[in-house]
Amino acid sequence: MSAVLRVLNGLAWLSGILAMLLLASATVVVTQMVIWRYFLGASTVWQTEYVIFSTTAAMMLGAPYVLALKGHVGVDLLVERAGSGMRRVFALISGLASLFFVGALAWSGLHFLFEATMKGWTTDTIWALPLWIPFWPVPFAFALMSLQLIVQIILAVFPELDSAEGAA
Amino acid sequence: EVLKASHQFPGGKGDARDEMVQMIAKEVADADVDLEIRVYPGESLYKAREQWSAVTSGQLDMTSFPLDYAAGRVPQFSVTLMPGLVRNHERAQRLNDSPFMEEINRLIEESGALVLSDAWLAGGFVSKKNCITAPDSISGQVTRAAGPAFEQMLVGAGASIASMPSSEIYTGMQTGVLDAANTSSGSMVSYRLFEQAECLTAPGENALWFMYEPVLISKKKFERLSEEQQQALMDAGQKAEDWFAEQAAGLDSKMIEEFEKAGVETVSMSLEDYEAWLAIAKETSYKTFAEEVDGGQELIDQALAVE
Amino acid sequence: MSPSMSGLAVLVTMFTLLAVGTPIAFTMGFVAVAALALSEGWFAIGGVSETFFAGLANFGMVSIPMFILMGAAVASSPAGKDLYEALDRWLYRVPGGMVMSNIGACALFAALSGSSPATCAAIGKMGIPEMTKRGYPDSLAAGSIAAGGTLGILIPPSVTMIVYGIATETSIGRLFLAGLMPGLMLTGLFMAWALFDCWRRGLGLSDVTRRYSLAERLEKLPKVLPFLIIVAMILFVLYGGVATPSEAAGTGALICLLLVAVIYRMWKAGPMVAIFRDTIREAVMIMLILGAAELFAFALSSLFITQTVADGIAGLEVNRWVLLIVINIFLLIAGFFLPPVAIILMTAPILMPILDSAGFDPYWFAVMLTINMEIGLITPPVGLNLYVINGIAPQISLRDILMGSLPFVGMMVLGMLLLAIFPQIALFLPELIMGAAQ
Ligand code: NA
Ligand code: NA
Repeated sequence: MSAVLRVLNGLAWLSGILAMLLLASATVVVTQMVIWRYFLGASTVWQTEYVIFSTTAAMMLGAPYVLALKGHVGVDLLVERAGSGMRRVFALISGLASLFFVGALAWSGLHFLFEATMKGWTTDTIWALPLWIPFWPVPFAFALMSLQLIVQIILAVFPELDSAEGAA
Repeated sequence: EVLKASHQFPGGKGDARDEMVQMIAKEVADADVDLEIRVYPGESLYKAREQWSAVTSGQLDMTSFPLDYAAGRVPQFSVTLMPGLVRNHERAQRLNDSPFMEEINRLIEESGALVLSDAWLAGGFVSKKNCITAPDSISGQVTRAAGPAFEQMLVGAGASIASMPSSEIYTGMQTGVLDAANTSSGSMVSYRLFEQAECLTAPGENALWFMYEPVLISKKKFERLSEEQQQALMDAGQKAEDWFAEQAAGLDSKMIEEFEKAGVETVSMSLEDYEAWLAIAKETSYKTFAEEVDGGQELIDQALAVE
Repeated sequence: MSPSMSGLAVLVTMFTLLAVGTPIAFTMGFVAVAALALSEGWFAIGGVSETFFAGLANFGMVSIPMFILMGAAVASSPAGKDLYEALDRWLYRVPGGMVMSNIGACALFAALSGSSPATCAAIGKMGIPEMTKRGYPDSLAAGSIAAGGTLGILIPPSVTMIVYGIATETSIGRLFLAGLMPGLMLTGLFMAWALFDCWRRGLGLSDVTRRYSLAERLEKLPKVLPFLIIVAMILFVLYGGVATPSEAAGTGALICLLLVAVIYRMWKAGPMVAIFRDTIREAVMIMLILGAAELFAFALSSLFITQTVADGIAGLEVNRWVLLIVINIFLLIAGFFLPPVAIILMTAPILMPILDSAGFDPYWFAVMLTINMEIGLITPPVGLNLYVINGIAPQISLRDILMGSLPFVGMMVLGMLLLAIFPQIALFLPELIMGAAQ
C-alpha cells in the first residue's frame, strides 16, 4: 500500500514542479505586459488571459503536492485529544467527506473537459484559446487527489497494512 | 414550482436588464399559474460568463445574458457585438424581425435555450484624453474594448489594446493605466466611469456599439412546463421586450445625464465618423469573422441588408 | 426543506466535519456539493468544476499567489532581518516596539494591496519569525499579523470596497477615501493594544541593558535600502499609472525575485526553488479554501439561505440603532462562514434600501461593513487570515493564533463603536476632498 502511495506522491511532486514553473512564467508575462504597454505603448491582448490561466493552473497542479505534504489546513483540536480508536473513526469520516468533494470535482471536471474538447470550445477573446488547455489541470489534479485520499483512508483505518508490507 | 433567474447587473437599482427580469417574474406571478421566479442579481448565483453553460445544460432556468459572452462556444454569436452593425435603436427594432435574428435564434435553440425577450443595448466610448469621434482620435490611447471584434477594429484605428476584466476599468482609468474604454451605457453608469472620464462618446443616431442581451430560458426546463405556464412566460417575455424597446433610448439619455452631472464633456459620432469607422471594421473585424466563422459572411450580409 | 432548515443542516454538518479534522477546503466543498446534490438533484454536480474554476480564474484572485510570492522572496533574503534589526535599534526602548512596527508594516503594505490574506502573507512571512525570535509570545506575534492583515481591505485600494461600490452604485473613489481614516484609526488601536499588552507582560524591553548610540542606529540604515527600493518601486508601479493593483502584484513579485537575486546573490537554483516551494504550499492552501468558499457561497445562495435571513431583517420594524445592531450581528455571523466578497454580493442589494430608509450614510456603512468583514477574516471556521498565518508559521498552533487575534477583535468592535458615535471619522475626508454626497 505504501508503495502505491509513493508512486502517487511522486506524481504529486512532478505536478508541484510544473505548478512552480507556471507561476514563475506568469510573473514574467505580467511584467512583460506592463512594460510593453507603459514604455512601448503596444497592445497587450493575450497576456492577461495567460496570467490568469497559468496561475490558476499552478494552484490546481499544486493541490496534490500540498496534499502529499499534508498542507491543507484543518482544525485539529479534537483530533489531538482523541484516542487511537476514535482517531481512526475521525480519519474515516473526514477522509470520506474529502473524497466525496474531490471526487465530485474530478468527475465534473472530466465531464467538462470532454465536452470542451469535443465541441471545440474556446475562450471568448481575440486569443480564442481552446478551453481544454487552461482547464485540464482541474480534472487531473482532483483525480490524482482522489487516489491519494483513497490510499490515505485505507492506511488510516488499517495502519497494519503499512507495517505488514514494510516487514515483508 | 420555482424558477431561478440569474444575471450580472445590479439588483433593484433601476438597471433596465434587471427590471426586465423582475417584470417577467412579476407578470408570471400575477398570471397565477403556480410558477415563481426567483431573481439572483449581481452575479449572486452564477458568474456572468458561467451562465451560458448553466442555462443550456438546464442547471439554471433563466438569465439575462450578453450573447457575445458565449462566442467561445458558438462562434457565430460574435456578430451580436460587431461594430457598426446595428447603428441605432430604431434599426435594432427592425433587425429583431429579420432573417438575421431568425438565424441567431436558431443557434440559441440548437444550444439548448430559448429567447423570451429581445434586447439591444447601446454603448460608447469614454476617454481621459480627448473625445473619441473619428478613428484617428483614438490613436495612441490605451483602450479596453468589450470584445474581440471591437479589439480588432480599434487596433486597425491605431489604438493600443489592454485586456482586463470590466471590473478593473475603474482602477485602470484611475491609476492612468487606461486612457479609454469601450462598453455599454449600463456599465458606464454602474461602474461609475463618469468619475474618471474627461469625455463621453454617447450613442446617437450613429452608434458603433450595440450588444444583444436577450432574456433566455433553458429549453429543457421550458419544455417540462405546462402549456399555461409556457404561455404565461411567453406573454411576460413579450411584455418585458416591449417595455425595454420603449426604454432603450431613455437609457442612453440617463447615462448622458449622469455624465454631464459629473462635469464630463459629451459628444456623439457624425455620419462621417461612423462611415470612417465602418470602413475600418470591414477591413478588420468583419473580414476576420467572415473568414473564420461558418456562415459568417451570410450573417453580416443579412444584418446589413436590413433597412 | 425550507431555507432556514437547510441552513441549520449546513451548519451542523460543517461543524461535525471540522471537529473530526477535515481540512477547511474539503469541509466547505463537501457541504456545498452535498447541499446542491440533495436540493437540485445529482446532475447539479456536473456544474461544480466550472463554478470552482470560474471562482479562481480571475485577475483579482490570481493576485493573491503573486503577493505571497513577493512576500516569500523578501522573507527568504536577509532584507527582512536587516529591516527588523534597524527598526529594533530605533524602537528597542518602546514596549512592543517590534509588534508595533509590524502593524505599521501591515498598514503600509495594505496601501499596496487590496487583499487581506495577501497583506498577512507578505508581512507575516518575515515578521512572525522576527517577533518570536525576540521573545514575543507566539499568540501575540500571530495575532498582530492576522489583525494587521485585515487592514488590507480597509486602507485603499480595497477589493471589497470596489465590489461594494459596484453592487450599491456608490462612488468607489469616495469609498476609498472613507476607508482611509478608519484604517489609520484601527492601525492606532491595534498598536495601542500591542503597547498595553507588552507593557503588562514586561515584554519588548529585553535588550534595554544594551543601549544603542546614534552612530549605531544610523549604521544599520543603509542595509534597509534594498527593502525601501522594493517598496518605492512597487508604489511607483501602482500609483505611477504603470499597472493596476492586480498587475502590480505580479510585477512586484518579479521585482522582488530579481532584487533578491542580485543584491543578496541568491541567484542559485537552491534558494529560488525554496522560494517557489514555500509559495506554492501557502498559496495553494489558501486558494483551495477560496475556491471551496466560492462553491459554498454558491450553494447557500442557490438554497436562498443568505437572502432569506437578510429579507427577515428587512421585515423587522425597529428603531434604527437596533436595526443597525441586528444587521451587524447578521454580517458578523455571515462573516464567520463566508468570504467578504460573497457576503457583499448576496446581501448588499437587500440591505441597502433598508439602510437608506433608516437614514444611514452608505459610505459610512461601507466602512462598518468592511470592519465587520475584517472580523470575519480572523474568526473561525472561515477565517482566511488565520489559515494564512497557519500556512506561513506552521509551528504556531491554530489555537494560539486564534487567542492572539481575539483582543484585536475587541479593538475592531471598539473601532465600530467609535464610528457609530463619530461618523465623521469616515465621512470627513471624502466630504473635504469630493464635497458632500448627493
Ligand atoms: Na488595501
Ligand atoms: Na470567519
